[in-house]
Amino acid sequence: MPQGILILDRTSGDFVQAVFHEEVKTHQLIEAEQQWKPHRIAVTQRLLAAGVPKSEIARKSPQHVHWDWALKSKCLEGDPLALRCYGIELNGEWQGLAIVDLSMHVAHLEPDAGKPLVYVVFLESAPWNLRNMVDEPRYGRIGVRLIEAAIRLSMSEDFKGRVGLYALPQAEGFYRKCGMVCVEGMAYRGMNLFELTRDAAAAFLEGGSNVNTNE
Amino acid sequence: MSIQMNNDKAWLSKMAMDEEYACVSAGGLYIRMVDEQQTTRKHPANDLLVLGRLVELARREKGMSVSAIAEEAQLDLTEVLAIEQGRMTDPEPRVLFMLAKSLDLPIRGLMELGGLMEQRDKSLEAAAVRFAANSEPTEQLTPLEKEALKEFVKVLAEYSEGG
Amino acid sequence: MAAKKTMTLNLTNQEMAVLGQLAEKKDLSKTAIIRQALRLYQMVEIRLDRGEKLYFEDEVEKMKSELLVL
Repeated sequence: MPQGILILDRTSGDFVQAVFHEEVKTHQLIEAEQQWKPHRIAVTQRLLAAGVPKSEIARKSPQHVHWDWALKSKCLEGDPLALRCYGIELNGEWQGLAIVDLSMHVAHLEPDAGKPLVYVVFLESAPWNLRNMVDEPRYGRIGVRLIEAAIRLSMSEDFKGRVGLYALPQAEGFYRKCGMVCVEGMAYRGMNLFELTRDAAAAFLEGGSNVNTNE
Repeated sequence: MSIQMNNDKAWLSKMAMDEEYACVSAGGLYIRMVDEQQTTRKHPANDLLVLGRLVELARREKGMSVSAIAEEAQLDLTEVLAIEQGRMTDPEPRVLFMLAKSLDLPIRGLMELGGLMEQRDKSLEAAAVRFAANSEPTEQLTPLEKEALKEFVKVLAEYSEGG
Repeated sequence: MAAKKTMTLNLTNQEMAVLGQLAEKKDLSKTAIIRQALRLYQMVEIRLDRGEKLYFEDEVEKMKSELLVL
């Protein structure tokens, strides 16, 4: 059941009502990609025109990688119970999406090492919400909301709010601010594993100590 | 899932994470995407004709008119016609999804024929060719088709004379 | 969320014991363990149907053994 959630309209500085979709379907993933792709392409073309090599663009700026939604939607093939796809939409435009896995991953950090957590397979904010893609980002709190949903889902599954994900290097700062901790020795293909312990999850939901209070 | 999100403005105000400066992306899926060859999606025009033929025959098998299926699938009549006639070069996912649902057709197959998803293997292409070859209409017009044709030709004739 | 239905599960004493041990180890209810088992089983089937294979890897012996799922 879609529910109303507030996100930040950066233009006005006010909170506006968006829609949180708990169960995003394949065709909606496709829709989001079709909405996001032209923005990515425009930015990629600007980088290419500025002389940045194509391999560097893909490696250093993942938002510019063509997030082939077919690959994303392949995750959801067979409607696996283990996976959930959720997202935030405002006026027909997708602002953020996430796919999480409930069954295949366990925590590495104590005190809950070995216990299941919600693993974020994929999470992304729309390109028009990010300053490295556009000069005037439109909406804020998208990443916060997507992480909040992962934590609440973790709570509802009795995983005590534990969440894990591989963070793209440029995103590490954001996840640290969310209270996530890098798990040593688990790096994979240039990405570090970050986990949110049950205590950090509780702190996040309270508006906890790692939060940057400056706008 | 049934989770309840927090809409307390005080909490939201506290949760500024400077995310607009960050790449919010996460997920091991990214690695697979970087590894994926950036192949150009194949989009042969004849796949759209096959898609159109498939939708048309599936609709007719259900004994439904174009307007009836458009209404059931909550689509514009023009959208359904464009699909059936192979004219919709970039079909919207929503259109294919609703048609698949209303016609009990596999959504993935429609997406591949519509060029929205890469074809997994050659077997779909081969099957599409066979289907196209075997589904060319050869039988005579039904009474309804005859009537519709007669009426439209009459309108065309009046229209041409009037011009 | 989809409405939930209730079913009765008949398990042997041994199966119940294993269920209890797993619940304690994973700090989950017995129901949650059964749900996880179902999710895992389905995920394995989906991937096997795609033509993938499931292996256990012995890091010491550097050997992989295929886990067959019927």
